[in-house]
Amino acid sequence: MKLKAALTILGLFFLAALSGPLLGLDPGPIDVQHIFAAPSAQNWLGSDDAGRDVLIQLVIGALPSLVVGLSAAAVAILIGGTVGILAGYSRGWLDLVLLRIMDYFIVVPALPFAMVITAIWGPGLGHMIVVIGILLWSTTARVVRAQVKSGRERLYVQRARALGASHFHILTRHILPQVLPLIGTTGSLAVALAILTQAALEFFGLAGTGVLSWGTMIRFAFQRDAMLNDAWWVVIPPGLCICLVITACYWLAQSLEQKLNPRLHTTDLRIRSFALRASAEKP
Amino acid sequence: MSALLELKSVRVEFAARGLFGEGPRVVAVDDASLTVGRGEIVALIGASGSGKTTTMRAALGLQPIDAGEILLSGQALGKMTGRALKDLRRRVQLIFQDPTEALNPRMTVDEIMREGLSIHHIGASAAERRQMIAEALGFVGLTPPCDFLARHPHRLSGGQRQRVAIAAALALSPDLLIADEPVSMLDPSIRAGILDLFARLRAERQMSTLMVTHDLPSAYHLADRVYVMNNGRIVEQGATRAVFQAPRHDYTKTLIRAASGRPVA
Repeated sequence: MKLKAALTILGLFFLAALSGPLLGLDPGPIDVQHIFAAPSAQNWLGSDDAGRDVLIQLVIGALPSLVVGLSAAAVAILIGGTVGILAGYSRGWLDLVLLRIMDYFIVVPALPFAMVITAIWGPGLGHMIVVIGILLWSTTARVVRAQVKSGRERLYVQRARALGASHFHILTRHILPQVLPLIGTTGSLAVALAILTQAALEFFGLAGTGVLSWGTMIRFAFQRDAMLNDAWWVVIPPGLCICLVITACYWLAQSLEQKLNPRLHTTDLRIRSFALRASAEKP
Repeated sequence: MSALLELKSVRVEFAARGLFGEGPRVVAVDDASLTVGRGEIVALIGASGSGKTTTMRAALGLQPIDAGEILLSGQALGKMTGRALKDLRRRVQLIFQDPTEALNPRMTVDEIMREGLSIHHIGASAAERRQMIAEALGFVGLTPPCDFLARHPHRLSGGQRQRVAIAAALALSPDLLIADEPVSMLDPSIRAGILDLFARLRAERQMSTLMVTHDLPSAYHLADRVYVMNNGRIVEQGATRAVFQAPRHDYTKTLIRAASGRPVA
């Protein structure tokens, strides 16, 4: 149920993101007659501080949000997965060094760090992707490291070693399949976090000029006193979009975890675990 | 008869990790010497925690030793590097106690069987490998092979899983099988079949087996010679019948009495 809802929401947003450039949508020219105009039959979500259509801006703004969210999550997973597997598999001093680096990145306060870095490098979507990726990789790395650490002690990994398998063989054939589901789950969480961080960075004006996204929409609404003009339609829709995408990502992560980790059904920590067990279908 | 595997006064110590650095060292295996000849089935008997498994891991080079020497066909294990060590991994195959844990649940029987062959580059073509796999599966009684190749381990019974593990070892035509309690996790009705496999491997392929076990009946029926281990030391050794009929060491007597169901004196 959650999985279906999450996939539907994400699918709709992807369609919207693609339809922006494909249909050549344009929020129209600056129109002083319609500054903060209320929602009407022509403009379903009203107009913003420049009299431009909010709904069309919302559709156009979906693309940078999703692109940055996905790319940053991909960067985070690539770095985090590699470092996590390396640390968990190597043990010894390399593990220790990598672990301390992970800890360092975990305790760095995310938002100030991102703001400082973007301020130094200058704004831009590419920079934002790298910065968010750098911020998010450490959590993935820690989770993956723990899984690899326990996974490499499994008997079938020892059997492969007794068979004379190389480290590369063990990693690709035995360890990686173990952690892939986990990477999928943390990955969808990373997408959610990346979109949230991106919106925050854009709100502080670090998106660069000429980028229309949900974060910048909220930024301009805030700067131009939309709330003082009772123009809720400028603030709430982009916020709601961010909220929906993030919720969908969390749901996706949750249902992925449930599908891939059947033991979750039987743990004592779940409420009504007995009822769930009785009604659960046999896999 | 030249010894295939020879352990000379092997000693293995573990450092117990204390609160402040290394604690006292625990001697897991002390002055253990044993030999396995070509085509011989040797059993290493002992209670849990007596050092059997550590001895076995040391014989494979998976456990560093603190003293003594391990020879494989006269070659010292400690001096082997690279290619020789890899060849050792083919010549000595390990059968684990729990086949459910020892087979990767995500791999099919076919992939499990092919893994060893591809690691050691055995078989010139895919067809040749398929032939070798089918033959090995046929030997352990999983016929016809095509019924089993596509299955994952969880779709096999416990006995079938152990047969797959043995077939995977067999496909590499090793000189020595080291079996770590190969039947202790299995149903008594399946045990005889698996043990019979080791006997057939010796009869038909002159394969040697070092069986680590605490199951005395299986050792009695299968092994030519037995070593009895207690507290990391080998306390008694000899031909199976001689040891079982006239145990000399107190610990062996206790073991045999316990297994026969008679009250321990």
